[in-house]
Amino acid sequence: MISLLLEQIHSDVMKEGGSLKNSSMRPKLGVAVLYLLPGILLYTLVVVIPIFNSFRLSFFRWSGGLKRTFIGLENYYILFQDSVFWQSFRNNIIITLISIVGQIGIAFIFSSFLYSRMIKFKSFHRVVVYFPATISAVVVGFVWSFVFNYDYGLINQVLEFLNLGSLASTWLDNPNTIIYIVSFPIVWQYIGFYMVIILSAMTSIDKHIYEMSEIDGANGIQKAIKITLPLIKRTMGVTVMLCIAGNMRIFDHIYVMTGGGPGTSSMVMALHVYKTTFIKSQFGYASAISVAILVLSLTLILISKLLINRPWARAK
Amino acid sequence: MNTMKKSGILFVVVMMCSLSMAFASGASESSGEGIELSILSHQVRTEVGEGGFVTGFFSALDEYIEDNPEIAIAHEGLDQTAYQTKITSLGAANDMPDIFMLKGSWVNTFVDNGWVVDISAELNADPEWKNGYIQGGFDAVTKNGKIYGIPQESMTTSLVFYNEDMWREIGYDTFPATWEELQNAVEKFKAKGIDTFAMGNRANWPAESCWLSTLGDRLTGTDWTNKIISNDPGVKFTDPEFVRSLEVFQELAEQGAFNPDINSINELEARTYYFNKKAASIVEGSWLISIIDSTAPEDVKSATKLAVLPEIKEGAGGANTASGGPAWFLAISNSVTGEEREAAIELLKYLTGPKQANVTASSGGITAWANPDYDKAKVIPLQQEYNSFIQNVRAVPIYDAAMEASVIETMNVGLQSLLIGEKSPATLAEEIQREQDRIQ
Amino acid sequence: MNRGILKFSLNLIILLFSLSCIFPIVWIFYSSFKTQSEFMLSPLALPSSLAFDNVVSVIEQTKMGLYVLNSFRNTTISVVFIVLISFFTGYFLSRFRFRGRNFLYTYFTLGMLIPLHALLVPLYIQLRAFNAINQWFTLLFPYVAFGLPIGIILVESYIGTIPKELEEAAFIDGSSFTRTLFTIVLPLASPILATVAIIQFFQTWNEFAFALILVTKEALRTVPVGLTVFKSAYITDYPRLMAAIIITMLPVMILYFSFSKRVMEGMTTGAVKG
Repeated sequence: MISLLLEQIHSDVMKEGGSLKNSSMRPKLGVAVLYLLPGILLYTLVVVIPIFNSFRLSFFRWSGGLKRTFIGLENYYILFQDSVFWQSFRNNIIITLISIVGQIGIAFIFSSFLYSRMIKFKSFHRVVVYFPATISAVVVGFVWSFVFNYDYGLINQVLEFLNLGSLASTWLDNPNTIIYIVSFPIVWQYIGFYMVIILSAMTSIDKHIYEMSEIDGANGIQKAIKITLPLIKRTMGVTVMLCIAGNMRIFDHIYVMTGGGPGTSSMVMALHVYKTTFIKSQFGYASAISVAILVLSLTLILISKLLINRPWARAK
Repeated sequence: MNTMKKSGILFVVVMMCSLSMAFASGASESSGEGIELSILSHQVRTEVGEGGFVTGFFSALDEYIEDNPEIAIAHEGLDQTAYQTKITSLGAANDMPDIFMLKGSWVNTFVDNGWVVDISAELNADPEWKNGYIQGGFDAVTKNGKIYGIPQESMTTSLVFYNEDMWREIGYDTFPATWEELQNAVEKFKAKGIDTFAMGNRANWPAESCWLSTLGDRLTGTDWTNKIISNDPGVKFTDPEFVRSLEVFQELAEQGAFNPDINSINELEARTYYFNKKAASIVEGSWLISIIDSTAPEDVKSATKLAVLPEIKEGAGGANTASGGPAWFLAISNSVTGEEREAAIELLKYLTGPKQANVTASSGGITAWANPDYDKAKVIPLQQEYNSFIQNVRAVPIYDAAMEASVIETMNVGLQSLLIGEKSPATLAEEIQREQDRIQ
Repeated sequence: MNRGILKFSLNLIILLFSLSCIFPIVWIFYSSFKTQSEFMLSPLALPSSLAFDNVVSVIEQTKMGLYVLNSFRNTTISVVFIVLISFFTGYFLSRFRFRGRNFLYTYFTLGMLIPLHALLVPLYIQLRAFNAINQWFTLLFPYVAFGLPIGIILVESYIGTIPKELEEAAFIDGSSFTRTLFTIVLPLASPILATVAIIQFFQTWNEFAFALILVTKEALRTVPVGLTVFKSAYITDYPRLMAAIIITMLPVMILYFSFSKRVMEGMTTGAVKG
């Protein structure tokens, strides 16, 4: 019974973006331009042209002064061999993967909780979970450095209290685990963010479907996985995209918590750009790194879209 | 939410927007004709009264504004990291503020980029002004015989602040005079579960500015340091003496002389270790003197004494030395037009000369102006102790005040790894030298 | 019995999480009552007394109020534009298939893939050419432009879940495009528009890099840059910084609470699909 229901819904949703077939509903070209042009113009001026300039700059050696030397692909050649860059890339990938599971995964689970009859204080939760996203990343990093502090940090204090003092460690000093440690505040901060997006997507699901499935004996987990998830698939795809984009250029959290350290063990690509620009005054090379971030992010998003939509597997 | 409430909120929102627009447009009006000077610095008015130099800076600035009502001054104050980001961006966009603060390690880049102008002419024309500064005050900002900035503070970055009582308990009446004695003391403190030194190297400059600048010079000698600063090809970071200094530093860390979280805490938290008596000493700069005076617990405050790093017998650099000198300078940028220049120079004189220095010195700051006029008796005890103590200490260059910024960055980042045993001295030396080579 | 344990654990988990979400604000709040030495000696402990000195000092000695006004102006105006432009663009991208539609979509995603620091100097140079630096409206340009990618993507995705029958019905009834857009689609899209508004409000409010570089006049300074005044060369005045954070977050929180009820309703009432 559930499967019949789902098939029906699937086919509805799978129609391409619910586009309007009746072409006479399309507004006249002039009207369309009026609606779209201001946004496109502003965006092009403020975002695209600087990106293009940055791209152009990546082919030069420039320390900020009057002299700019064209060096072709040399910056990219150096980038390819830059061990700090690849270490940063690895760190970004780790943070992104942890975030996809942590931020989006937990956000989905908690969102489902908020639809369950078993949970109390729903309004409280709904309002409060978004709080962390309202605080600047700088403050978040700052607060969590105090949590992980070796001497008086919350974690070590709690371990002492539970007589597990031997487990207390210098969390932020270990170069091997630091990248996993700094992922904590990043995941924590944005769970509420994704919850808000997922919850608003869930509003478009007809409640009757849940009621009918309950008649058929579906429990909470089944409802979440078999009904909710497929119906908000597009939104989930969007959240994955946002997650990848956001984490590939993450900066503030790392900057505040570790500065990329100890050494370069928690370095991320955006921080590498920052240091290269403002401390080493290598504007051209920094632009090359930025272009690389853009290309790598785009590639990852494309891969994620392929994995989610699996166009080769769908029966047309 | 009913319509009344909604329109109420809407009204408030519109009011606030218009209010702030009124403020803002008032600010956008240009002050008309006349000279306008823009200053960007990392002195912020809220700090006035808390530190020597900031008090002196604003006192002099306000005096200038009073004396020159026809000149409009626009001052923006930011914290040091935000300052560095902004000044670099403005430079690259070719929109420098008229007067700004220049760090010694930026001189080469700023001069090559044409962002800072040569003020040798005005200095040489006013010998009373030029000679009023401490000896060697202009070294870091002199390039090819031209002077590009005026020194402000002169600090010692490598002072040992030690808790006399805690050291006496393990049998030392004064801070160890030799490195060997220090290493013995470390063992004794370890047995008691006390850190010999507190270090907060989160920002990665303390290890280099407060320790390595002195340690390195002790082993290499000042001649080597000066040659590195002037990019003399005859010396390299891979020279055995410098590598040895890295080794000595790493050995001390491996021996357990420091708190275990050196790279994750900042200077403030390190000071807390010292104030809580979890550490017996801390190596910081002369800026710590007024901080101890205002925030340390009474018993720690009265027990704190000063010293320099112990002698390293094998080193070429002598014993009683500590890295010190001016690190920041006030300079004029390429934005200053012909008619503005005279006013700018005048402002510079106010901000770096006796008008500032007298106020700074009486508030506990240490100026680059050689003989500030202030009531020496009113100065806090630890400061008085410092003033007499420093007479016998020879100043050696502060690495990050003189060497190239990107070389320092490589050094600082690498030091974090070195101190926790993740990088060998030889590897670090090679990395630093590679960066030095690259910027030639 | 099992169900009882399950219910308890699930509630506990989400309760712990929610409490952790308020903890930072609570911590910042009570820390603002400490003196500097008190704070440094034990950052996590409760304050010994409720001294309002820090709050008073922040109000009297700093221009936080001005910074809040500036941030408020920048943020509200930006959010209005972001929501409108995202709505129009997202709607078009979702409903119509036209040549270049996919290109336009990808075009708009570029803005969220590049680290902002790379664009600081190019944007500064560009805006300065139009004498648009250091003006009351300077920050609106990057704030709106960089807020568009997320807005457009979210709206585009959401519109796809709204059945088009209602619009088609309106068209058959003779409604113009614009009228349909505003009277039928806009209300249906309000949950996602509210979401975009909230997200962009806080992203913009907390933005630092552009606010630092593109604006110099203190009269135009925003809150994030203003908070740096508590960090001097060798010491950070944490308690006063925290007092300032509380003061600057207050108006924002009041706004959030007054609108959150509305937003929550949007998040839980499902539109009944015909």
